[in-house]
Amino acid sequence: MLSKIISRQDLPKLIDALTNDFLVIAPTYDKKVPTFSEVESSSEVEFDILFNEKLPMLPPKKVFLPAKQTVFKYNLIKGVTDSCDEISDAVTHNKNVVIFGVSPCDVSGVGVLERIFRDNYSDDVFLRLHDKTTIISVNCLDHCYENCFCETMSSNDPKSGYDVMLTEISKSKLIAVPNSDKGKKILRDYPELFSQISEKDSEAYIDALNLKNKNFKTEFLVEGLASHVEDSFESEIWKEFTEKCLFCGSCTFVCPTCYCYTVKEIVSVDLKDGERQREWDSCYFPEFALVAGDHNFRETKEQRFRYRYLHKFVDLPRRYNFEGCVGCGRCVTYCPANIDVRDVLKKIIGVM
Amino acid sequence: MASKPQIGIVGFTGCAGCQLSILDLENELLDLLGLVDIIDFRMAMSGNKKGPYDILFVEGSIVNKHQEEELKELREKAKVLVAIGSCASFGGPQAIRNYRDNKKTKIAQYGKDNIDKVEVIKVKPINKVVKVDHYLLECPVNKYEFLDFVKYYLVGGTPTLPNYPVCQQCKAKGNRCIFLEDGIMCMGPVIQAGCDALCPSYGMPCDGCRGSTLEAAYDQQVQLMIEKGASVEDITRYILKYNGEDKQVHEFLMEKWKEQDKKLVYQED
Repeated sequence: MLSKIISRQDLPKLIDALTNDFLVIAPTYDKKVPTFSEVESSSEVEFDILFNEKLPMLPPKKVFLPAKQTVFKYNLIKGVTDSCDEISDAVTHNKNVVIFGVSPCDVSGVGVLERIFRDNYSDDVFLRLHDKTTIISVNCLDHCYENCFCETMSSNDPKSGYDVMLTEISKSKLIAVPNSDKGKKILRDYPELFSQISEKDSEAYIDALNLKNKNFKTEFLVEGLASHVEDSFESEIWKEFTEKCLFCGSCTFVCPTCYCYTVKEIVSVDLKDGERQREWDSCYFPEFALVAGDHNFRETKEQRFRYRYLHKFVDLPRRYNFEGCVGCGRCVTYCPANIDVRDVLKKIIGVM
Repeated sequence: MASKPQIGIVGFTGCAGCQLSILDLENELLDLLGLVDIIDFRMAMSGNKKGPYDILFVEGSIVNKHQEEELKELREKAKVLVAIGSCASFGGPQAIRNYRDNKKTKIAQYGKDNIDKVEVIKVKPINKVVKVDHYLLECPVNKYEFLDFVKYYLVGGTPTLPNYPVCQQCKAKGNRCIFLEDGIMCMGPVIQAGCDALCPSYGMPCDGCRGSTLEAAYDQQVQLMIEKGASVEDITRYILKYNGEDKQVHEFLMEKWKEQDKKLVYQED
């Protein structure tokens, strides 16, 4: 069997071993905020974020699509001096990357981004970073907190998008299931940390998965959601929430699947060198849909509020067969105006 | 480049912090002087020339007739006029007086016997006196945006300032939301970004020194501040701190907030 056992005690050893070979990104606290950041040793990793049910504020998208990112650099005479590949490699110090402790919903979120950045057009910067990254996920066996609704969005049991899945089968043991060549390599390269799986472990794993199935409950049905949202185009519901919303954009930045960005040029003082940067943008901002000739596709706040839902719950499912929402609940947690995406959807479906 | 653009940096009523900020461009100042000639910068040099200017940067607000005349003369000598900082753009802290009884303010400032001796008009951002071509925000002005403006001018264009709230940059930096989580009155959701969320990054609330963001949601912001326990007086203070003459602030205060805060009286011209 390919799967192996790792003891909970050995997780720090695994991280320390990984830091020798990879740039390791793991959950830490930065000024009281749970976050994914680069770690140099296991002592920096906050395991309680993983096992005590907290989600880092910013999802793993910040690794592949950071808030601000240089796309390429150029010079007036030499042309392009640093290609996107060179820049991506420099960002990761020419190392491959491991993101440790990604929750299943975030694995699904990365999956959404990957499809969009690979299928529609090939985004070299994103893919370069994505493809050199190994994702080690830690399974959730229950709702992690009150705002989590991953089961409703069918995102807590991803079939792909992770390289190794660690599932707690007892207080002291985790089973490591590889799901790609990159994942198998991790299990192979650190043999001293992984042991063979016993029949008892197998049974415990099945029990854990059954427990998971039992614990997760669907809050409302998303079947037919796209049609509901579409038919609510003129609904008063949008107005109701628009009147609460600050349009600060926080929900879009903490969202694992929001990927919109804007592009700008940074020129050096001698006017000879420059670089193109991209930066997070949000469909909640007035200039987001502004085009040449001063025409704005979405002139009112209500249109902007509605558009985010149309994109996530109509456009993406119809085009890609998945919603642009993984039910992580970050937008609920970090909304200063206390808007709950579940309330909006339930009102649209008519169950609230 | 045939001849270098002639630049002036002048100040009216304000703390002169914007001019100091420009001087603070220590690493870039020599490169900058290779690109432009600074012909008028009283804070930094002698032998100043009163124009003509290719770009004139104006700090401070206008508080009397004499300044109005001076600014109008300067405008005629400048091809491009740029307002720098909160005072020049939105009136600055001194514009708070525009929302108070003028006579009472004057008595407090100059004493009962002197109120007719001092000529003080309403505090005006410079766009109430002359045409302003561009605004550079922050208190004091963001020196890098100043530098960017000069660079863009030289390559032929103007930089676009961010038109979104401070929350964008707070989230980008992974800051804790002190408004949501600690109940600290932060103006970030309604204030223009560009400062890289400077104050919230150090645990301080956004004071609003860059003015309202596009279509700022003051109604919602104030509602949340009330829920978090701010008094009517405090809310007026938070909103008025820098931006009394910001159009959105003025509209919100005089059309909506006046019903709550009866002390607000706006001085008409």
